[in-house]
Amino acid sequence: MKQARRVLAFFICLAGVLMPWRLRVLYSEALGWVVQFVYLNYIYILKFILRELEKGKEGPHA
Amino acid sequence: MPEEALLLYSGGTDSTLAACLLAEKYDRVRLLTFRRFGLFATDKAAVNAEKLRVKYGAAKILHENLPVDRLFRKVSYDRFFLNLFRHGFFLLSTCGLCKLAMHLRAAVYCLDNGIKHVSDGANKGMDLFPDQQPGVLGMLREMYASAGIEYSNPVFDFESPPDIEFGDRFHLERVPGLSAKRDAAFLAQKKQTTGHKLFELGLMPSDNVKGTKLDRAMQARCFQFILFNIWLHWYYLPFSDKERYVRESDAFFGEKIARFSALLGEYRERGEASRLASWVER
Repeated sequence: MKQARRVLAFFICLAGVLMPWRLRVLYSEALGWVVQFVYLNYIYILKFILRELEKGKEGPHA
Repeated sequence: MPEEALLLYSGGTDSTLAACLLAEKYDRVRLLTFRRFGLFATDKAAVNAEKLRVKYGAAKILHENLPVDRLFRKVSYDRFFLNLFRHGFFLLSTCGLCKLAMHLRAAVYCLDNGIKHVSDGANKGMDLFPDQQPGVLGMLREMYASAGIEYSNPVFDFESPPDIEFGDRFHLERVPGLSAKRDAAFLAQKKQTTGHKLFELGLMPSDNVKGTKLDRAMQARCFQFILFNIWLHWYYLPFSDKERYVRESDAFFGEKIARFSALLGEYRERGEASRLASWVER
């Protein structure tokens, strides 16, 4: 897993380091929004699962 | 003549407390915020600058927002292939390179206006960022000293609030009493944070606003640390150690700072005819 992540990071960073500065800014910006999207999805899915589990624990007539 | 200090000001809690400490010591504090392509909404720094002006007086606190596009580009891409060969992905240390561009602009501002003291909000808790590592701060101090300017980090020794992962925060919210228990464990440390001091001074509504909506409303947004983080946390640190990172970081920034210190010296001698002056946007 660590090795695979390293390889992925290598290619992401290689593209970034070779870019001229404005393009590198836009590239980082795009990566930032992807990370935000994944993170927010993770939060909301986890919140939804927990809420549903709590509802289930309270019983069908709660 | 009033004694003035200049502060590199982002609008966050660390630099805002640094402004308070300087305001108690100097007759006037000039807050410098910097803008460039990729740093969004730098005008948000004015939110806390205004609070400072209300607290200490508009004559004592001055706030300016200066562009550093050309300098940032020059600092980041100077001797690109040589640096790529020697330091590899350290070239992605955007936060450190951006801060170096800001320091150079601040030094030029000091020389132009006869200011002899510069500070920033560097803090020991942010030691993965090259610009806040003791070694690099020492080199910056030498760079400023070579231009006859004193450089200090008034909030460097303040504690950082304990870092809470999302999962832990979730857990704390859902188990009654756990949050209070955790807070009690960190009470002594919490009282030494910049956020707590600002809360005591009446400048913040709570003692830890880091990561909150309010925090986002008072600082610029920048995503370029993402590339640096991917490199550092996925590529470098899992296969190396922090000591080596700090050592290599010091080497990379040592070369950069030495090169730009020389250019700052040239600016002192030749003024507007120097190379540095041509990269400084007024």
